[in-house]
Amino acid sequence: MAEQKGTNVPMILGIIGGALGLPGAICNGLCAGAASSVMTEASKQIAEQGGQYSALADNLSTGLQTTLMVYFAIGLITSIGGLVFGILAKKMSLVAGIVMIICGIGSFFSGLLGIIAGILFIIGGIFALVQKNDPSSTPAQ
Amino acid sequence: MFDYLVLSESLKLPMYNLWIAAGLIAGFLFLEKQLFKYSISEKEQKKIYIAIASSIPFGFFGARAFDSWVTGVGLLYGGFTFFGGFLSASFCFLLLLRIFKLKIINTLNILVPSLALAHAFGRIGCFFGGCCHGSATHSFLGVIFPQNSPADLLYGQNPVHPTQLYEAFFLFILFILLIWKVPFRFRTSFYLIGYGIFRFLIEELRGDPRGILLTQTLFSPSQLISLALFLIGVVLFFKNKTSASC
Repeated sequence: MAEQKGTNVPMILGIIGGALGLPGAICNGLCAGAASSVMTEASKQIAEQGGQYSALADNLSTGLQTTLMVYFAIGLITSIGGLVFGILAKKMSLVAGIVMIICGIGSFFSGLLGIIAGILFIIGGIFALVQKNDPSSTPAQ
Repeated sequence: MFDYLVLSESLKLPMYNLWIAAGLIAGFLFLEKQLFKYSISEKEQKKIYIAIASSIPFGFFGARAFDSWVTGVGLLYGGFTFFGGFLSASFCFLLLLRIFKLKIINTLNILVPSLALAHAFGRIGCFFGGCCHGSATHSFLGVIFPQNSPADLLYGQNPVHPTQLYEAFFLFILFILLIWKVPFRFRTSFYLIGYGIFRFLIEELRGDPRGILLTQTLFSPSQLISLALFLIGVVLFFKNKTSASC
C-alpha cells in the first residue's frame, strides 16, 4: 500500500483551535448580553434620578454591546472557519492554508482563548501551505 | 469533575471542549484509515471531506438550537445536544452526498465507526464538564460531583449515576464491534439499532432536565429520536439483507 500524502498537523491544530475558539466567542456573546442588561439598568437609574449623564450611559451601553457582539461574530466565524478548513487541509492545502491563516489573524480579536486558537490556526495554516503533495502516492484503486 | 485545565490565573482551557477536540481528531484519523482500507479514490475522498466539513457548522448550530428548543433556554445561553447536532449535520451531509452522487450507504458504513469513536470521547468530556449526569443512586457506581456543578445544584452532595461514562463505555464497545464483528454492509443499521436502544434505556437513568417535545411527557425528546433511529436501522437492516440475498 502506498503512503498517504500530506500531513495531519493542520487538521489536528484546526480542530483544537476551533474547539478552544468557540467557547471564547460564545463567552463574548454572553458578556454582550450581560453587559447590555447591566448598562441599560444603570442608565435607567441615572434617568430616574434626573441625572445629566443618562444619554452618555445609553451610548456607552449600546457601544459596549455592539463591540462585544462584533467580537462574538468574529470569534464564531474564525473558529468555525479554522476548524472546517483544518479538516480540509489535506485535500485542498493551498486554499485551506490561506483561510486558516486569515482565521488565525481574525481570532486574535476575540479574547484570550481566541489568541490561543489564532496561534494554532496560523501554525496549522503554515503547515498546510508547506506540506508536500505527491500526486504519485494516492491509494490503490 | 475537572472542568478546566488551569494554565494560569487568567488562562483556563475548558476540558469539555478539549475532549470533543480529541474525539474529532481520533474520529478523523480513523476515518482516514478506513477510506484508505476500502480504496476510496482521491476524488471521492475529497468530496466526502467537503461534505463532512460543511456539515460541522450545521451540527454545532443544530446541537445548540435543539437544546434551546427543548429546554426553552436562549440560544446564546444553552448547551449542546448530541441529537440536535446529529440530525442537522446528517441532513446536510446526506444532501451533499446526493449532490456529489456518492453511494450514501457505502459512505455511511465507512463513517459510522468514526462517529461512535468521536462520540465516546465527547461523553468523557461531558463527565469532565459535569453535564449530562444521571439521577440519584445508592449503588457502588454512584459519583458525587463537586459543589456548584449541575448535578450538585439538583441533587446536592448525593451520588448520581455517571451516565456520561456508561455511554462512553457503550460507545467504545460499539466502535469495537463495528470494526471487528459487524459485516461492512450492516454497519449503519447496527449503529442505529444499537445506539437507538441504548440511548432509549439510558434516558431512564438521566437526571438532568430532559426537555419536552410535542407537549407530551411520556418520552423525552431523545427517547423519541432514539425510537426513530431504531426504526430506520431496522428498515435499513432488512433492506441490506434482502439486497444481499438477491
